[in-house]
Amino acid sequence: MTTTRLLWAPWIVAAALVLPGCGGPDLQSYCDDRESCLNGNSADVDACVASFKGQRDVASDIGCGDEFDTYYDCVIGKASCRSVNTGMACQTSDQCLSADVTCSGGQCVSKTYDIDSDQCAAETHAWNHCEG
Amino acid sequence: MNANTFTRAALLGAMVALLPSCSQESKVCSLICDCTHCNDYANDVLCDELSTESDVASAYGCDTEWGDWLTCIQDQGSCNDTTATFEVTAPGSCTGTTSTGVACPTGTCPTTGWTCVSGQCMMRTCQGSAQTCTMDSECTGGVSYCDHESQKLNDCLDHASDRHAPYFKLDL
Repeated sequence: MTTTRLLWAPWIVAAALVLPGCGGPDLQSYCDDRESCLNGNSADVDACVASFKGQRDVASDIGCGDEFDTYYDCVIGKASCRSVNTGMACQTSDQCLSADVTCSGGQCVSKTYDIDSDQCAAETHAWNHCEG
Repeated sequence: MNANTFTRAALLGAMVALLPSCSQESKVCSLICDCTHCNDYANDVLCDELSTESDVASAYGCDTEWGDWLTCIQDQGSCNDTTATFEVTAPGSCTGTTSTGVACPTGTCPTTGWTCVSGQCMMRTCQGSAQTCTMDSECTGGVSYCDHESQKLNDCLDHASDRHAPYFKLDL
């Protein structure tokens, strides 16, 4: 190995460790879709990405980084925007008693960005089991 | 300067870049963990959680308010060595009063511990709550020293988010 290669080696290793976004679930795309569904703004999207990146760090701390990635890789491909009727009648959104719930067609409707309960079952089980 | 010196400089630069920064979050993390005797594992989790909250606050443009809150925690927090808990609340204080609804026209009250004030029997309560008490030790958890900073941070987060800042998880 030449001296020039030796000089670059530590920097390449450091860059690989420090650079964000190398591997892992596509959290940016997930948060864009999630906040678009839930009526969040651009700050909510940025906060969403920061929050999930942090959760990934904590998952790694406790030895569950792989399970986190596998779970969210599955969720990101399957999550969709859903409207859930809360069963409360309304005329205006103020009557729905929560900022996240809106009045639609005379009913309070809550939005969620989620997967079906039978989707990602193995990944959910592995993630829960690892987390303890 | 020879190639060896270059290599050492490069390695040193890489190490400095990788070392954990001495941020306010890590200082607060150390304060709490030193007090509560965290193991390394819990220390890493707590530090990462604080760092995440910092990033979320930053995403909402609330760095100043977050910094002020952390400063307050650093300045006002104290360790209760007996219980190994990090506290940011004033000790409970049995200095509040509330009316019993019993009149005392003669200046005396029928129950020990009640006092007659302006013709009304008053009983003592923990400061800031309705819990009755006779001494300070009966009052748990007083007012948080960082309430003002918590409120300003909450206001900032709420103002910036269209959804009440759902990603900020810290219970202020």
